[in-house]
Amino acid sequence: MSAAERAVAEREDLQAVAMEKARALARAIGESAAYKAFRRAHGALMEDDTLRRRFYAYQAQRQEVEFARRAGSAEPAQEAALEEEWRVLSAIPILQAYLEGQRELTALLKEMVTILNAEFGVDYGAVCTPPGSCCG
Amino acid sequence: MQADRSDARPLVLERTRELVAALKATPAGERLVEVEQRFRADPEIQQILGTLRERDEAFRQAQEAGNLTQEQIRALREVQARYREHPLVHEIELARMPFEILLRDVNGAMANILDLDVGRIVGPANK
Repeated sequence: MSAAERAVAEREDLQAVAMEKARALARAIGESAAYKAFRRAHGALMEDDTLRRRFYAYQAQRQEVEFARRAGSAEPAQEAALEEEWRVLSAIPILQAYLEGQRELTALLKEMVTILNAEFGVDYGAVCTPPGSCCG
Repeated sequence: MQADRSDARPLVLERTRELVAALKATPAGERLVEVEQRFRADPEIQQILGTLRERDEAFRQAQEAGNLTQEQIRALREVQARYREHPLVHEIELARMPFEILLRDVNGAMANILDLDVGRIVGPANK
């Protein structure tokens, strides 16, 4: 094996170790109560077709209002309707559990990502988020 | 749930530190850390960054107050150009590229196990 081939093999080994550490981290997250609670709550939301559709519709509408607000063309009536829809939705136990699970899991993941960002001077979320798809 | 979460937290943070160490050992990680250290220790680039922050802040304040001047715009552009053209900035951008590919692989490896996208959930840091 040439020196160049050895260097490539060594780099691949080190990357494989890093990927194994990433999987070990994922398994640790997977064992956390925050993750398990989130999965349970997510499952419950997915099973309730009506609520799920209503929640997604709310999210889409919220985004529309947000764009309109930025453009200075948001209608007060539309904003009020959105607030009212949120008041109703956020009182539904399945959704409350989902949002609480999401908050807990996000807090844990952000703590983890903050360490990576500080160590390498990067923005994990920005690097790994496809443009236009942020945030869960 | 709060108590359960605190139970899982130490293990997650320990595994995170192990991942950091493993990433630092890769050529891409080693290179980025080395350039980052030089970047942080370089007095010229730190001075440029300080000026950039000051002028950016002055620009924002003037914009909000509606009294932005051409001189303020020119001063901000001048320091932005000095920053962009600094060799260490080029170096750090080059060092970040392979590391960012590695980070996306890390995110993908975690997604395969968790069935969720950590990067998408946390979103950009400044959001």
